[in-house]
Amino acid sequence: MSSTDAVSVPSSGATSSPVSFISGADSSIRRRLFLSRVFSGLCRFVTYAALAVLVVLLTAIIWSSLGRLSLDFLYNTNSSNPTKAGMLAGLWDRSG
Amino acid sequence: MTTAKLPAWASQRVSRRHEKFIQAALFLCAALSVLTTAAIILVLVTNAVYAPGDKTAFFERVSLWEFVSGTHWKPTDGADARFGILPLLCGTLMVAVIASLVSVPAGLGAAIYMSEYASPREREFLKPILEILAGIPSVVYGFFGLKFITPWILKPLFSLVGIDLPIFNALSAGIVVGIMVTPLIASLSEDVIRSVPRSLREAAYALGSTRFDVSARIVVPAALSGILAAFLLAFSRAIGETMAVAITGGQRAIATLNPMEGAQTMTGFMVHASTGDSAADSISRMSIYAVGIALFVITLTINIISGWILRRYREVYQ
Repeated sequence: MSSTDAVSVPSSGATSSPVSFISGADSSIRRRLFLSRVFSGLCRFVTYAALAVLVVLLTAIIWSSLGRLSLDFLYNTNSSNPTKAGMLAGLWDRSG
Repeated sequence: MTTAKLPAWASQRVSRRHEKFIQAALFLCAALSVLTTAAIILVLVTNAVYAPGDKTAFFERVSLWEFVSGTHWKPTDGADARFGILPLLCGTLMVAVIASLVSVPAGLGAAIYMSEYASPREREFLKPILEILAGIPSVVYGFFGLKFITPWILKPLFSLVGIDLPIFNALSAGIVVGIMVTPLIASLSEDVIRSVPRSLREAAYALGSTRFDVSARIVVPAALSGILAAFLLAFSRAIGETMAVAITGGQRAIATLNPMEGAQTMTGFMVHASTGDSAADSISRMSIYAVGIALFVITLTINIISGWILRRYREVYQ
């Protein structure tokens, strides 16, 4: 948290620490600090949402491929039988 | 083994030769990209506008007015073939606009968070992970949209309001492309935001600004030209995206702006037509080049606007 955000806003009549140089009656400053916190939370949310998308994407791909990945899939080439087809032709030689 | 030391005049001559060699090599590198662009334009023009020899170019068979204003795109319908580009244009713009609605807030928010809020350690962790998103092949995003976003997120959401969303729809394609270009906007915008001088931030903090004030009223306006250029580049990228849209959005070329329907984009059509079995000099094959020219003009215009914005609104600090 920034030095500016760290400035505490005492509730009305509060006298406890930390020392604040913001008047309790200054609603404008309260609003600005609130806005700053909301904005910070929003930016954090969208950043981590992008990471969440990455996690979901990888999970979805791995989940869909479970049970289909095998050495046969890696070593086999094109085949009219989908259960025997592999990706070697795509990796190594187009003609298979 | 000993080496004879060259006299000063000979050493200078060798140095000058090296300079000239390096200069020529660098010029060739620069010229290569220009020549490539020129070759692309030549191929497009000689197939779409004017074809030398026996071939007939696309616009020698179809009028420019029909191409620009027609609302039906049916290039493979033989005698009933129609060549109005509006359906493809609608699909392309719809996907690009939805992608921008997803990627601009997400990318800019991520850029502001990484440059203004995140600790250096958090930033070192976040940025490479975001860049992984940019490195995932678009065909994977396509299947992600088709197999996850549409059936698991959009369909259940729309079924709540009684809408049966088709499996191929422009909304899903736009969201997928938006996710794809988010890292591009985040990365470019973050670089621009970080280049804003620290003294501006410090002055604002010294005057009692909050982080929001500094981010939204000092840093973002100061970096606005770069941020806008990043948006336009991302929009341009969204327009040119092919595989993800072709897989997620489907192949129905209809002139609609309803994102809940399937949509074929310009690039989607080009892939579809070029992998089809139409004859090499048939008009349906030639239409690829006409669509290519339209796409080239659109992206070139956006890039020129992007460059103009960058120059016009650039803030120079010393």
